[in-house]
Amino acid sequence: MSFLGFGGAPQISSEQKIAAAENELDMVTDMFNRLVDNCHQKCINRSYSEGDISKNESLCIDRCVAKYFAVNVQVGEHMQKLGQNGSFGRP
Amino acid sequence: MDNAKESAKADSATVGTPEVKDVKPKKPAGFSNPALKAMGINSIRLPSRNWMIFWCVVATGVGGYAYDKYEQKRLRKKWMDRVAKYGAEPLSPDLTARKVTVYVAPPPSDYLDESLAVFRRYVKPILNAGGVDFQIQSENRQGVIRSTVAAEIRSLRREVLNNTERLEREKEAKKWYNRLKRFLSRSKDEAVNLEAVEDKISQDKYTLTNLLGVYYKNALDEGKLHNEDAFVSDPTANGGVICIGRGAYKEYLHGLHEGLLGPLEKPIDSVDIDVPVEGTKDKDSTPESESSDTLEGAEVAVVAGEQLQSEDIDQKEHKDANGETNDKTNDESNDENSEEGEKLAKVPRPFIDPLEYSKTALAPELSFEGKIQTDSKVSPVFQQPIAVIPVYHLIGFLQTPVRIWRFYHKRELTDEYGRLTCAVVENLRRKFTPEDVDWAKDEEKDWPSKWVQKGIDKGSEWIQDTVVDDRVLNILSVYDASSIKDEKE
Repeated sequence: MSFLGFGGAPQISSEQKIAAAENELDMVTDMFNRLVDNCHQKCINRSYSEGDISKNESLCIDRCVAKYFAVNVQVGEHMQKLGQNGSFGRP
Repeated sequence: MDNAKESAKADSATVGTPEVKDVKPKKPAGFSNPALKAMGINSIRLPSRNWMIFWCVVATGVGGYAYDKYEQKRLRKKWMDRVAKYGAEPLSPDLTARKVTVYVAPPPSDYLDESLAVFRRYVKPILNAGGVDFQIQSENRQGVIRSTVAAEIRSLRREVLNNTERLEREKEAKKWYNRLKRFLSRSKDEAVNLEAVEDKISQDKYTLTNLLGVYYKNALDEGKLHNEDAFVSDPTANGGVICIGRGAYKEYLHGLHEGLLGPLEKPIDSVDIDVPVEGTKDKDSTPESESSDTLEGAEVAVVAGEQLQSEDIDQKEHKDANGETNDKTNDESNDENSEEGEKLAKVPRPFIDPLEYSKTALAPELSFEGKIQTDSKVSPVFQQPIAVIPVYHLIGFLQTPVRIWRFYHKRELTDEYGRLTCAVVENLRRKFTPEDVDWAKDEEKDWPSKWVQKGIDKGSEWIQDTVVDDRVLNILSVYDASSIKDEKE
């Protein structure tokens, strides 16, 4: 927030910061929704005979969420690398 | 010419038959009836003798394999159905399922994948069906399991020691003469510090997120996850340990002894061992590494020995199949190891020699009366019961007939290991008896004699006699499958 006399690094305006935060919120919400849909589809038995989740379902959900996050992070890193190399978008 | 031919043929049985160049053997008549003939099938014949032999051999081979696979499926399903009701039990959202630790070691002079395949085929389906969580601790060379188990027990002992010391100090502080001393010598700085700490605590409690929205009603509720075993008071009913392979079992026992009977700090003169990875050709580098490490060993002992061990633990192959704690650091360190090639972390030598077991006291910091409290409130490893699954693995050309027999009889393993895993899921256990030290000892008959000889020469861990101490064995318990009866058979 402090104003540099020589104007060293390019300042990110507060509007840009808000936009960046909104983007991040969108991404996180999108990922969360996909995660919930995906793991629900894979792990939970649709014949809802009782309100509690069983042990099998609970373990399955734990593993599904962990794997989803891990894959998400790895893919994100790879995409970043591709973006930096400039080869993103080339066939 | 004709006369000569005819006279030559006079001796043969074909006298009187017309002269032919090639005599084809007559085809056998074959089976037929008018109905088949009407359909267009003129005759049904068996193939020739040679083809019969061929098809019989192929059919035996394929059929035996198919039957074995079918039986494996049936038996696996039988055991899975038996434990399915445990997996269908509800689990409340603030609880995590009972967790079993699986120690996997590779078979001698072969790769870790073989043992993991045994786990994956025979044990994992039943654990999954029974709703039991598991965590795999694997090694690809000797000594890793022992050092990690011992390190875990040592850190528990240290923690308990610190807690008891702190308790003592607080008790002392409460005494009236100490309180008086503090009152008289209290300075302003102390008061200021105290206020700062109190402010911080109140700030954290009453932040905006805690007071608004979803968290309003649960403002001060930590929402901690507990393991369902935390509420089980019987320490032997918590968790569980499955050792895949006789080597893993031996190392586990040694690790328990080292952790419970050994010192808390690394001995100054202990030198880490350079152990090669199983299944690869090992370089004979042990003499060099020992001489160069004496100085490093001394320094290491001064710096907290625990730090080094935690680094060792992180660097070794530490697989979690449940994916819950799938650290990226493990992947990175595995990449580093594969990049550097042979530079794997050294395995720490046992902190205590087996011959000195009887001289030391059994973990004086811990009281073995009831459940020993750990961070997660689940009882520690040495109070959890043990199951051992042997890994029968023969190598060698001359063993091929035996291997073929075993290939066609895997259903027997499915049944046996399935029964043991059911005992793990259903928590059927008994106290450890001295005979249980030899559990899965017949796996050692499979170990190649050259590998055993090399192990004897180098003094490697699995070849050594299992020296046990009764005091440790009295704490242990074991999963017992003998009460599981086959109802339908």
